[in-house]
Amino acid sequence: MIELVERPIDEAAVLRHVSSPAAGAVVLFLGTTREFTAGRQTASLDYECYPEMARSKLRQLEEEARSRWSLVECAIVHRLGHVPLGEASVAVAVSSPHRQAAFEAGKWLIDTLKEVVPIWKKENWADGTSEWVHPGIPAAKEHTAHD
Amino acid sequence: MKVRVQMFAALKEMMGEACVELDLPPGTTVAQMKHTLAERYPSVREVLARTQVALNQEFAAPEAVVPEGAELACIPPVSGG
Repeated sequence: MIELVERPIDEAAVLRHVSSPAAGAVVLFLGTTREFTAGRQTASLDYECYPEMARSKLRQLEEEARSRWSLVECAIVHRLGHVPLGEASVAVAVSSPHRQAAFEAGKWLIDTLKEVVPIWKKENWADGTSEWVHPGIPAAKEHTAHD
Repeated sequence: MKVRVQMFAALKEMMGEACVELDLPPGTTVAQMKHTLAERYPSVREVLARTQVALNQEFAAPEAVVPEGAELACIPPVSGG
């Protein structure tokens, strides 16, 4: 299951999707919006994506995870738009007959998602400035809330 | 040939456009297209240098030739999750 949603992620629904009598293990990873990054305070985050390619890349990740590990079900849900502090911006859930595959596949999925899926976050800092996060590019863009 | 290139995140914000139209000679490569963009938008040169190009929703090599009618997008370093 691949979903891009503009509302809070329904974690229970994600877990239900991967639950199965064939599974002996379910692993759920939630990425949540953190208040402090390197000592700097965040007020909220905004996410945007390249929808067609993001969906296609997420489907590829699911396919590759299924080919590398023995999975029963797999669900990846990413939230877009405005995300308040402490809420989940991404959920990755996998189920497998045994726990090792579920842990490994879940970790690989979130690690790879963060490297290749065209989704971007904007940090809205508590001081009123905001900036897009582009790893490897320091402060690509910064402006005040009044711009 | 005319192509349209989608922009995202900081690139979109700094260029002030979600989509840029370019007139490129046939046979233009992805690297040459980025060079053209950097010339037209010098303020995003640094971001463009670290930006990948997606050709029909797949990451393209710098030497790949831009086909007419392709769906093109600039993908600055991603930060989902």
